[in-house]
Parts: sequence; structure tokens; C-alpha cells
Amino acid sequence: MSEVSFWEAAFLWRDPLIATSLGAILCALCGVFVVLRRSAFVSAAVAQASGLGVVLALLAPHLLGGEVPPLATGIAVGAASAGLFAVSGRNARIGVDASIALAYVIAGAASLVLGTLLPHEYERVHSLLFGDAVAAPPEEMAALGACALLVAVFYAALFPRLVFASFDPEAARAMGIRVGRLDAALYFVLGLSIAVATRALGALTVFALTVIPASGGLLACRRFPGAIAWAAGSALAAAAVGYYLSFVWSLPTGATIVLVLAATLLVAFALGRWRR
Amino acid sequence: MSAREGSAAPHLRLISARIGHRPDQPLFPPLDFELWPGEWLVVAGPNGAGKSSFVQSLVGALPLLGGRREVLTPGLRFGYVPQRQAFDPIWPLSTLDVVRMGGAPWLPPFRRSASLDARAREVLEQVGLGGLADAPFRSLSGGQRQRALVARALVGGPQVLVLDEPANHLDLPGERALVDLVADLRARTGAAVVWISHRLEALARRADRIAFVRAGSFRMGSLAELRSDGTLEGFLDRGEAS
Repeated sequence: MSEVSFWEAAFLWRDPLIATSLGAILCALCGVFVVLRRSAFVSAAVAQASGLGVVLALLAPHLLGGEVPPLATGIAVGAASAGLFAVSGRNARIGVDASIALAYVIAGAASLVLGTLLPHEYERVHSLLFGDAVAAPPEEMAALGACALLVAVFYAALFPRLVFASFDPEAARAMGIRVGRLDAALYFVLGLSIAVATRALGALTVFALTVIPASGGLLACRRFPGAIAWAAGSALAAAAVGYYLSFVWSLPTGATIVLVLAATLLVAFALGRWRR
Repeated sequence: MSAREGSAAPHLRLISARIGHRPDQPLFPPLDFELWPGEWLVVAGPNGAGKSSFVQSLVGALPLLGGRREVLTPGLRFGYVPQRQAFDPIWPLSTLDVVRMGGAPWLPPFRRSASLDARAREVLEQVGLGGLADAPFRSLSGGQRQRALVARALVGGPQVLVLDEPANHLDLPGERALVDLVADLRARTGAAVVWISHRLEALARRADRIAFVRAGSFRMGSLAELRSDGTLEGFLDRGEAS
């Protein structure tokens, strides 16, 4: 157990906890459409694509002779890869799940192969991509806040169309909604948010935060607003409780948050059964 | 007086339209076609003949391979009832939520509409599902689900109601009940109806015109015309349609 009490160490955890909470709400909001569209592995694929982007950016001085910002490139490639899922999922002969799997394995393999050209920069690639929720530089908090605002505005503007186009794309298209553009925009927003959140919180935590709270909302609630509220509320609660427990018991923060999220899923399951 | 005779101009027009999914394989020879306000058009033919592609091009969801599509009614609205009935059951939607979706294409960004809610409840009453507005959509029976999808297609006040084989999962009495419902709604709203079907028994007498699609050909006319020139031979059950 830590010798300094949790409350005495507020100066240590205040900013990281705010960043974790922002990231939790951001991922939970994204997760509702991720789970409903059966694209649960999108965050894993975006993380791999972001890694490829960082590797390419670090190779740029050797290949192009000029510097490219690695973190921004990683986030941009991650977001763009999610936009491609929309195109391939709707119009091609393979489903969106297969597109996500392809992005995951191809980006992962390409990163490993290209990474051999950067033998001394593995740690830099890793530290650029995967945060651990215990440090929160101001630029990370700003990026998380901007993404949360972007998702909130995107949903506020287009929520009825997003629901229609996701639930019944054929009818939505026939009734005048530009489903392809809407899908691409949604996946781009999800990809950008996931890439930024992965940088701040780590891949495992973001994966869990996009899938578990939304799944809990669907288990516990019968209506859309309730499911979204559950997702955001349980993610926020799990982030705070997980952060607290990891501090007082000296546990890995991200993994502790994931286990608390798993506990909320059990509560949602029980609540759903009780309401049936 | 037919709907066509009472209207000054068609809703939309296809001119030398080449329809299909692959540029080198149009489904029919170039088509000239007009859809008139208030008319009931049945698009019939065997499965896989290209009925849905024709209608997708009509509503603008499938780009033409050639020719032109002209919309002559400003802000023309389509309501659409899909063929499929199987929706992902994980969606936490009530029947009212699904019906409200039909207003989404015309809802400006950032806007919620109380009048859309009221309109959705009103249309649900019209299709006989007023008591199931708050029931989970996934819990509805096949027939109830089809009625809810008709309500969704109507909630935006469309001038054209398109139904893509909506009775595929229904028996003949169920199909006749759906035809009667749509006829009643058409009488109330004045919407044109475009009904795709691979069978004509329940529909033939309602249709102002029939577009018959088979093996690369596209023929259009009244029931009597298509019967007399032999187009419907082997397709129409004469006992049912006469």
C-alpha cells in the first residue's frame, strides 16, 4: 500500500485523473456506435495503424530527407484507417469486420518489418503511441478535450441520421441520406478519437473503454438514451474507481480500470436480467 | 380520371437511362420512364431480373450508367420500405424510435422535432400499431414489423412511397391486408406508390401501370395491355387477378 495517502497526493493524480475521465467519456461515446455496428476491434486496428504511421514518420528523414511529426502522423494514419473501414465495409465484397482485421494484421506486420530499419527507436515508437494514464501533459488533455467536443458536436448535429444509416443503410440511402459519406465521417471521428485516447491511456484501456461500457449499456437499458448514459456513466465511474484503487494498492492503472469496467458489466448484466 | 390525367407534370423522369451495377452490363436497353403523382406502379418480374435496381435508380440511390434522371417536383421526398425484415436485435430501439427515423433525412442538423414525435405516433395509429409505440422493435412479429416500416416510410410525408417486396415474408392473406393498408394510406396522403413484387395476385387490380422486368427486357403498360400482348403469360395467376 502507498505510504502517502491518496488525498495528500492530489497534486500527482489530479491532471491524470481528469485526462483519464475525459478519455473514458470519449471512448464510451464512441463505443456505442462501435459495438452497435459490430466493429469492436476497431480500436485495436486503429492502434496498429497509428503505429505504422509513427514508424513511417520516423523513416521519413531517411527516405525523404525531411522531418515529419511522428505523433501527428500516427494519429492521422490511425484516423484515416478507420475512415477506410466505412468504404470497404459498405461497398466491397468483404465486411467491415474483415476490413478491420486486415488493417490490424497488415499494419502490425508492416510496422514490424519497417521497424527493423529503426533498431534504436523502438522505445520512442512505443512511448509516442501508448500512454499509461499516469502522466497527463497539457497537450494530451487538450487533445482529449477537443476530441470529446468533436464527438459531442458530431452526435448533436447528426444523431438521427447516424442511427438511421447505421441501423438500416439500405432504407436510409433510398430516402436520401448519403450513407457512404456519413459512414466515412463517423469512422474518421471514431478513429481520430481512439488514436488520441490510445496515446493518452494505452491500447488495452482504450479497447476496454470502447467496448465494455457500451456493451453494459445495451445489457442494462432498453432505450438508446439510457444505453448512452450508462456507457458514459459507467466509464467515468470505472475510470475514477480504477484510478483510486491502482493508487492505493500500487496496481497498474490501465489494467485496474479494465477490471473495474468488467465489474460494471456484471452489474449491467444482472440489471438487465432483473428488468426482463 | 387517372392520377396521370389529373397532374400537370410527372414527379420525375428517366431519359435514355442505362441501369445496372456494371458499366459494361446494363440490365435493360436504355429506358424512358416517368413517375406521376398519385399513381400506383407495380414493378413485377421474376427474382433477380433487376426490379430493385430499377427502383434504386428511380430514387437516386443507384447512379445511372448513362442517360439522365430529372426530378421535376422540387424537394421530392421518397419513403422506402425495405425487403428485409431481419434487423440486428442488439439495437435498443422502440417501435416509435424506428418510425421516427423516417424523419431524419429532412431534419436539419442540431434539430430535434416535437412535431416529428407527434407525427410518428399519428402514423403508428394509422397502421394499427398505436398501442405498440413504446414496445421494443425487436419484439414485434413479422407483420407488425412490416407495418412499422410502412409507418417509418410515411412519417416524413413522402410524395412517393416505395415498397421493395414488402410481402415476401407474408402469406397471401397477409399480403392482401398490407395492400389494403397501403391503398388506404395512399387515399389519405395522395402519395404515388411504387411496389416491387415477384408476384401479382394481390396487386394487379390496384396498379395503374405495371412495369414488367424479365431477362433483359422492360415492358410497361396497364394490366390489360400486358395481358393482351402476352407479356404476363406464365407469370400471372389469372384466377386471382381477373
